[in-house]
Amino acid sequence: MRTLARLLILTAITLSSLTAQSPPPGFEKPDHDIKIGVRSGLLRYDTEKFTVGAGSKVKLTLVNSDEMVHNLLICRDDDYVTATVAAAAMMLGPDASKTHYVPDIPEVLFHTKAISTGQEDTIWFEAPKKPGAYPYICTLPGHTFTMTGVMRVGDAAELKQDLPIELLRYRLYKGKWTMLPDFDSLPHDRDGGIEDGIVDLSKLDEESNFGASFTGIIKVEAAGQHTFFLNSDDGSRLLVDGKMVVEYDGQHGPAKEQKGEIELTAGRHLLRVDFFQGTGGKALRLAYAGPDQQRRQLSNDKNEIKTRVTPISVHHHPVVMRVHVEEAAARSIAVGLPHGINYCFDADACCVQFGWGGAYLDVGPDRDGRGGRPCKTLGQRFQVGNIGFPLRTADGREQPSRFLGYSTDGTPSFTINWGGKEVHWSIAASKGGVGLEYSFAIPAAHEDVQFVIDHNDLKLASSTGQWQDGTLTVPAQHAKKFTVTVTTATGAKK
Amino acid sequence: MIHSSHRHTFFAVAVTLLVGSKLSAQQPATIPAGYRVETIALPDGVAFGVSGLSFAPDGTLYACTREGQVWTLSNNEWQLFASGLHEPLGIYVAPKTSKVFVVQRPELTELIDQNGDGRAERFRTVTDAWGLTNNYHEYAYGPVCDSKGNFYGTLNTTLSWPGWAGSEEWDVARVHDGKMGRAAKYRGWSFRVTPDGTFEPWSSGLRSPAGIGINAKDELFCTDNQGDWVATSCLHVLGKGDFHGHPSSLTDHPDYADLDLNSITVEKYGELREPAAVNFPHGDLANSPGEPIVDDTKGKFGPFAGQMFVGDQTRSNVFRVVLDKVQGHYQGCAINFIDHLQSGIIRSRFASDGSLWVGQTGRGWRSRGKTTFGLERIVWDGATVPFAIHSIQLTKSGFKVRFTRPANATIAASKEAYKIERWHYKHHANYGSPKFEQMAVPVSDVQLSEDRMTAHLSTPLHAGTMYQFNIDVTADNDQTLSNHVAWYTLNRLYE
Repeated sequence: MRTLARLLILTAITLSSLTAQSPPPGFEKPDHDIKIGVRSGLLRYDTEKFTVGAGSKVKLTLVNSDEMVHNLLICRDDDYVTATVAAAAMMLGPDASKTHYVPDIPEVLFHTKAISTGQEDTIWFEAPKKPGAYPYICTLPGHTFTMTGVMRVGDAAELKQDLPIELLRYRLYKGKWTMLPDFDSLPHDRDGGIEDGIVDLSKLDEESNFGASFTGIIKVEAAGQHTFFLNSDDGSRLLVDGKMVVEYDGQHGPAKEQKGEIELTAGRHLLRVDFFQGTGGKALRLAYAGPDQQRRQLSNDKNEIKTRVTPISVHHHPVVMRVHVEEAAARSIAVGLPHGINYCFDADACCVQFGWGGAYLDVGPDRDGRGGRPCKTLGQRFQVGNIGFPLRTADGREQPSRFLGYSTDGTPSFTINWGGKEVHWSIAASKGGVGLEYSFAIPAAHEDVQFVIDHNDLKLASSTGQWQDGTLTVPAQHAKKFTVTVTTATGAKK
Repeated sequence: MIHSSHRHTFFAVAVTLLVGSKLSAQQPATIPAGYRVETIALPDGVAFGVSGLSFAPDGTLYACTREGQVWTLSNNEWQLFASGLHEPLGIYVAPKTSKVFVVQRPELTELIDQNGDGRAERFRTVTDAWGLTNNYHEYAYGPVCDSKGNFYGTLNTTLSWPGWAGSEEWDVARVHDGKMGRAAKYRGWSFRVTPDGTFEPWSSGLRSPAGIGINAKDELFCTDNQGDWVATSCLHVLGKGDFHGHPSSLTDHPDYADLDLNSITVEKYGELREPAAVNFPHGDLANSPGEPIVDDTKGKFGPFAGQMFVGDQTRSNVFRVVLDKVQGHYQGCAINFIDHLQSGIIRSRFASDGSLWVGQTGRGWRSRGKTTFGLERIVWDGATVPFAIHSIQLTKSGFKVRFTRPANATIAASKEAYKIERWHYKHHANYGSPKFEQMAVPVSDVQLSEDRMTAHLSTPLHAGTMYQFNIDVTADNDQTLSNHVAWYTLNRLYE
């Protein structure tokens, strides 16, 4: 198996080198040479944002080091364009692979081929002339939720203004500290400007026993509450307009990201970050987010210890794991279905707590060190209207429910003792939209059964019965076997 | 179509052929003569923190892992039997029916291979009656099964002190500022599950009872790990209704339902508890012991038949426990056996050929040894009788030290060969206990039996005291003792 996979990889590499792509006329010297990889097992691109000049010549290479097939489609900068493109891709049906999962619609501007492990594909194109944010996605089934990014297009002048931190400068200090000193009262060793506007310790060229004070200007788009994130090894503090916003002083590793909030007006604000390093590992990571500003990194990752992720991948068959999951019940069962839909069952309350689109689980927190910490869901959670075990008697009464176990033969199915009757509840991905399909089997049912749900923001359908708001009444003759489909009305957010 | 491709994938992934599965291991620093250690090859590329072992009647070994899988080993071939379990810490294959049970964090589960493809696809909940939060310390251990088909297991307390837990959400039922508490029902209890699946709390007062054991008389034992309210790691006898000393669990005891557990004094808890039968001096012998296994090999594993073997998760050693019944209560001695193996040990099992299989996981508490997980087998050559302290028992006037083979008569009859110290531990909310009033114990007389295998020592005796024996005796063939230190927990005296 492993040898075979290796052979395939080798073949793929040989093939791609044999069919080395050459640029079309006029693109021999592109303005931008962008390489985008895939974070293995995570259903994420390794680059989720890049910037090109309006009308510039772009060479873009998708490198697939993941175990799954991926593509990359750059879309128009319309609202909800990725949902439109993803939906069109899903409609392609069984022949989708022939067209590389690319729907033939005007929303798709440029695209790579769908490529498998070890392959890469290069495309050349002229960037749109209209500045804006052009999303890109992978349209392989289920990948759209998390394999996204944005190509920003701007004119040259605008690009320059979009530095993360304008007029960024540093002052370097030498000394041994266990806490941050008052740098302003100390003589600095040297100072300088940082042109690309990104805080990066590697530019200081120091390993141990030094300190630095970074100053610069950030441009706030919209007034309101802003959150600043800070992590460092060793100590650091972050000030905006002279006010302390986050402090992470003392000697430590980058154990836990700290954050602080501050109300800012639209416009430019003075940012200052003080940092010191003793010996050993060094890291400084800062970012911010605001009302009209998605989290933006203000530092370079190179110096930082990568957060360890131990992803479990789902391929052709469902994966069922009993684990602690972040913000979920203690007796959780995390189920990963093929095509990027996952859900979390609560074996205590006998209900589906939530679903998520994207990759499955990071089990690192459960496995590393002493373990036992909650696993992280990888992707975007969606609600399924959970109000506990969803079945009621014909007259709307709740009955005690007790978990009896589950089966992993085919679609995962949970068995529940519901007021003395056995209920088999199997849960699959909905066939359309983002959601789940519940199949209930109640062999001993001989009366009407009600299914109840918090129906806000959900689209509901069923094989039988009448809906009234969030209550489905299943007539007795169909109560032994019926299905309910729960999909999110809005889909996963852009 | 789909089904057949599924099977194909399964076999391709799950079966690892082993060529020469038993690799000879580097032998431990301390190992009695006649014993050797073999390392068992594990499936390639699988994190395999062994957390449970059980042999099926056909000899197939079932091993569960902290990573949530169950593997079988048969004819030198590993096969994946189940996956997706929540940190199972014990597995039991019923000797008559071959049914497979595990205790995982949330429940006692039967794993059922319904379609006979060698892989469980049905997970039947036998009981999930105990409470659970997402606190990492809420381990569940077991099961063992008695002759009537009842299951038993133990439940860890919650790590409650916010300074260690990192949150106040689990700070429930900490007593006198101990570290562990009870954030969910029956934490700190042992339990019984009847064959029809009814859960019954069995005994209370446990802290971190990482291993449960049973003997042929259906007597139950478990070890507990040193910490708050546990002076040093130890072995408890689990009598129905017993309170073992850690108060947080009393929250779920009907007699304490309306009481503030902090209103009861430390001294009172000391009186209420059934003291540990055998203490394992922390740092000297054990730091975090796993399950006690009775040597039921009838001599196939050497001269220690009927004794208990316990592995330690931190020290990676295996030691022996020899029980001594005094006034109807068990107490006894502990003696190191093999020190140390390749990784930390919480589970072991005797195979039908009399070898002791030792499951290893070093994850979490930094075990000694070169690997973070593994599986080894300790084998006796069937002939060599090592010179060892077989057992120490209490007499009315002192102790009876028994050797595994005749001793050198001159040395074994001299008082100087026996250096004895004593001390006592304090039962309190603090994390562990120092040794109090440590002092030498004089030996006033030694009488060696005619077969030169038993030395009767006359010494002063004090109840509630640990005795440490440092014995410098050689065998009649000049062999030295494989382990010359033993510890006797003297709870009760003969009247």
